[in-house]
Amino acid sequence: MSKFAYGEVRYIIKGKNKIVSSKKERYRFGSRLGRQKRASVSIGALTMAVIFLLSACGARDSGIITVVSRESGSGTRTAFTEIFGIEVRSKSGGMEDATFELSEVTNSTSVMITTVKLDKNAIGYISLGTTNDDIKAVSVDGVFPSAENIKNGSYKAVRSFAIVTMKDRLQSALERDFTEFVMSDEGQSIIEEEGYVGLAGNEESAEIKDSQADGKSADSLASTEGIEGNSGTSKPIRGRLTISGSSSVAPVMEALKEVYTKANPGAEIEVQQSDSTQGIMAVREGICDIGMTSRSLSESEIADGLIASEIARDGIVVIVNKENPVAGFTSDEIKKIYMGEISNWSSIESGGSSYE
Amino acid sequence: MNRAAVVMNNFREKAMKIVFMAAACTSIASVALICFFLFTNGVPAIAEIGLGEFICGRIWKPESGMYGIFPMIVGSIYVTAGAIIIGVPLGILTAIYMAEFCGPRTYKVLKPAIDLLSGIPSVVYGFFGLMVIVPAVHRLTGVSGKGVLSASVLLGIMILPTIISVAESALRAVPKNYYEGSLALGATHERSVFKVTLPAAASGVLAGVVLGIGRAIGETMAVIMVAGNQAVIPRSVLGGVRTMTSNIVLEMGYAADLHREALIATAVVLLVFILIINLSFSCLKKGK
Repeated sequence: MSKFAYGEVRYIIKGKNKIVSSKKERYRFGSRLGRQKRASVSIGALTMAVIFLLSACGARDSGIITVVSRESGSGTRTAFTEIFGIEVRSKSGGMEDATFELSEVTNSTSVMITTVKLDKNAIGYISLGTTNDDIKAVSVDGVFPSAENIKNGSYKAVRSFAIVTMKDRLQSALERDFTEFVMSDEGQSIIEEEGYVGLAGNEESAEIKDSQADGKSADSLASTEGIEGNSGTSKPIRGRLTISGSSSVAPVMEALKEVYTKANPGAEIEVQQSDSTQGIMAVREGICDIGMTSRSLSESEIADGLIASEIARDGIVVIVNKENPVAGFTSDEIKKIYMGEISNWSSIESGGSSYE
Repeated sequence: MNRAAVVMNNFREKAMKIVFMAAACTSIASVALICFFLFTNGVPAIAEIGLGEFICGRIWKPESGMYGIFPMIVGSIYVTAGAIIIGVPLGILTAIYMAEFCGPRTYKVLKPAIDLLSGIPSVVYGFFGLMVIVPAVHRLTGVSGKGVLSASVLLGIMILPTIISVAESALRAVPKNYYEGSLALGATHERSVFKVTLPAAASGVLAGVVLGIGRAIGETMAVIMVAGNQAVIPRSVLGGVRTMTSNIVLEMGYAADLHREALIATAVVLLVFILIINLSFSCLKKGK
């Protein structure tokens, strides 16, 4: 009984509400028009303001070069600035990275490629092995970046990929054997398949900046071979190996690892990628066994007892958007672009297209 | 026997109390540890560089020993302000629509969509920004497109779910009779919502905005991809910008010695910002 009454009361309230809302509908019509008008005026004003703002900031195609660089821990960046002389002498006497402070910084190759792919005015640099059809590689001083041109020594922007180890640390059998494998003909042919340049048949490498690391690598190679000679090679290799460092070297290392672990199922190899400096630091701190680097070691790193052994060569490729008519730069132009001295494509095109 | 059961129960009660207590303490302990780590590593670095030099220095060049994070502080503030300008009006209007205007069918679609928006990882937002927002800004303006504007638009979208959900529940918490009273006085539905319900929910809505600001200032991965990351004070809305968080992520991997400590000190400054934001959040809550 009481429940029934309760229901009834609710119904009445509901009914009242309905009346209120239907009145509301009727009143709303008039006021809505006024509000809409006001809204459209303010939207119009806003659009005008935005357009004004945008036009004040720059024309549709300004031709201003979008300079894209990597973060300063990147081996690609270090090698790039060294090769093209994008450096100034610092107060302490050493050379110092002088990449234009208004250049964009990205910490990955894929973001670099995407940026250049989508921005007509962009210029960037990546490793030869990672070039693809989304972007256009351009020639430097008239030489197109390719594996052959690196081999015959005509392409200038070349750096070495190296593995880094501690000098005094005892190497495990797996580590020795894997290093041996990387240097062997089989390992080197895998590296070539990946689009990089192996060490074999590379006589004109004297120009490479990396002389320090080269010298060291010859040393350490010899010593590894000596140790290998003593130990028996018939024993199956077991154990764990952690390799970490440069994201440019990592794809090669992955390919090497795949073939190696197929032949030695007992070996467990982990490849972690970050950047050259992180890999070197990880070796120094004992977090990983082998570091991968795409730049030469700094003096303080060598003093800490680190050794780099070269495993391959890679070209640094300057990339632009596919729509960009430029076919090549002189190295002086690249230097000036990255130091902020040339900022517009209009001052490039004449020089660049002469290489077409 | 009965007594034994009581003792057993008491014991269980106490044991479970300790378990719950321990669970609660874990989060407090982690906060305390993080603060301890940050301050012990960061404060000496600030002292070595000099507080004025560190906070107000305009040049960040770790390789030559110059550690001024002023451009990054300004960058964080610019980008967050941009996100507020874009995200707050959108978010509040959406919350009002969801709480007061839309029908149950629309709500059924809208609510999960917004929940999904908050679940998308920030890297995915970053790639969206890189592939869609940056080229759009580039096409409109002719400059590279990476900069304050793109980062603000992206962050504005990213803070939407936070603002919407908090503001919506604040609006729903307003007693119905406020609104009904307004209707009874002859105000229209819109007028009641905007002049009565919204002001009554103001502190809750503001709390949502503050939480959104916290999210915007702490966002890293997405911002790195669209901001350009130049360590200079942006010259215009289209200029490249580096926030404090991106500065830490970009350089933490390879930084050593004072450089590393300077980055931790950057995190200290960021933490202070977050603390201020959270304090104002709890003040707002108290005001409610």
